[in-house]
Amino acid sequence: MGTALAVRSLRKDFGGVQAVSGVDFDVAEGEILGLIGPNGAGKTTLFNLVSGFLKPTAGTISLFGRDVTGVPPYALARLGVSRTFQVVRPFPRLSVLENVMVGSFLHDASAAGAERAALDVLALLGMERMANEPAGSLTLAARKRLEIGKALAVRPKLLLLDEVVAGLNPTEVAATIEVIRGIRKGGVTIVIVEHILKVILGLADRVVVLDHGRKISEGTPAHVTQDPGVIAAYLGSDAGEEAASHLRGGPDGNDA
Amino acid sequence: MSERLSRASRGTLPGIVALLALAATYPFLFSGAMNFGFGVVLFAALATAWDIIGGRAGQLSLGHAAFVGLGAYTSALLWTRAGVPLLYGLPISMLAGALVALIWGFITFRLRGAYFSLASIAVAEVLRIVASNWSSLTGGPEGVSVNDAPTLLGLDLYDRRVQFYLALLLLAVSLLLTWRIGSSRAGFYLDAIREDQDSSMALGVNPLRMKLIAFCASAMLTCAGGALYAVHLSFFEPHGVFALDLSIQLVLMSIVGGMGTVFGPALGALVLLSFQEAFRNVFQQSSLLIYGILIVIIVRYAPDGLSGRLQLFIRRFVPWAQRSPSAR
Repeated sequence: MGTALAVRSLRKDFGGVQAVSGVDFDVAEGEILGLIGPNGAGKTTLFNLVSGFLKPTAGTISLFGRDVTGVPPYALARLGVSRTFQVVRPFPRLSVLENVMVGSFLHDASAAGAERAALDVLALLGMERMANEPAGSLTLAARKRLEIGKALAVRPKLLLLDEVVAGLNPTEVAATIEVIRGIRKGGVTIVIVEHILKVILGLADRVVVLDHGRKISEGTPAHVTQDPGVIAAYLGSDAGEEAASHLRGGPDGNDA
Repeated sequence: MSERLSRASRGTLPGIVALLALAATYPFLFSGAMNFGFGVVLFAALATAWDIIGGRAGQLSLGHAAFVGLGAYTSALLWTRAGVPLLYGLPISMLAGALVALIWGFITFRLRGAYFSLASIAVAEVLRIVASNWSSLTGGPEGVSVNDAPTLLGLDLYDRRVQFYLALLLLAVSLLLTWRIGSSRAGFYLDAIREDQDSSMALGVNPLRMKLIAFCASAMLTCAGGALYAVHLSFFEPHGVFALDLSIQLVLMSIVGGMGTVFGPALGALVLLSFQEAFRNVFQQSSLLIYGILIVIIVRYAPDGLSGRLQLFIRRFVPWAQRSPSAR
């Protein structure tokens, strides 16, 4: 197995604040890597760096051995990277089908072909019946699912999922986890940021833990949850209560 | 097409053909009101062209008069100063429009939201000031007279009917282009950029590139309209063709009729110019007042524009205009 994503000494400064400072990690092809950390740990910034929405202050990102540091998001999409947004971003006045078609057009310039591909994606997600509904009228659960659908439509090799289960009820969470497992079976490498630890621990092969922009631990789910540094990061600060809620697996508020 | 679920509003092409055919009878029925007819058709074309960048791509240009003026000046000066006939002057003016759009867009599309709109006002103003002051080339504030009886392929361009049908041809091109874009990849990409630019980028859309393409198409059609306008006016000055009022008029037509729709901008042109004509003798300088009142009414009762309302109405009574069924 090769390396899908390699992040080296990645740093992002916002003014005087280092949101991400010197992070290294690899993601193997076909792996699910979980990215966790308390609020403000830099998870979303890291996501924005890897997906090209932010340019790093320093460090490199390579994709399947190719340096893609500073490559804009639309070019990364062509290279096989797609992402979801933590705050879902459907195209509200387009139908569900049309939302997904925007992604399908990357591989098929004809509307008929893009539509067929988009319908396949919707079938995979069990959303065929909503195809003609305007995306703006969907429930949160359906929007979160549509977010995955759009990302899948570009046929990614590396899929970045940013809190796709936060805010869902337990049934919906279980359904989404099944969807993610299905995507991985299709050969897609996945990096997932999630607030609900239970979800990450059940899904991820390996976990990277961030705190204050630094990587404080890395390893199997069992390893990181016993790492004293990780426990301190969650419990040793005023984030203690939050961490307790994570461990209970309850739905949570938004990440920073 | 028939099995398509998305945007399979089947009445669009027959609708365009019917609209153009209906409009083509105008000179025979109302030969005494050719100026009004020409104005409606020309502005319908201009508003439709504006809507490609303004409505579909969601980049609210408040400076499209720049292209009307550029088209008018380029073609008229080529004819009066260099003897280049409209047959060549028109495409040259369209190329000039595309060039200006590329430069203008390349600089200002990096600005999002209100900044692009504000910058667009400035561009039209800069061109107006250049046209007013570069007297040796443009005739300065006194304007340009096109008085050498221009012809196009043997047709007398002073003939109001010839002008009308040329404007109708431009409207046909604008409507057909808008229709084609609507169901193509480019149309989806422009919709996506308008709805959420970041989300579109994540799906492989290069917003700058798509906006430049849309802007060029819009600019070229608008310049062609400007060239026809120059012929029709036969005398024009910088304050007329580069006016902010003119830019805003195009925007309002599109909003009133329905932004991002095929027929909306043309419908808006018809409605606004009809009101303007009807009240012209009642209040002088009343057009802004009429527009203001209309906008308030439209925003209150048909926020998506008149064409959406009209479509609902048509669908209820015309069977073939139904949207295709949602199940295959």
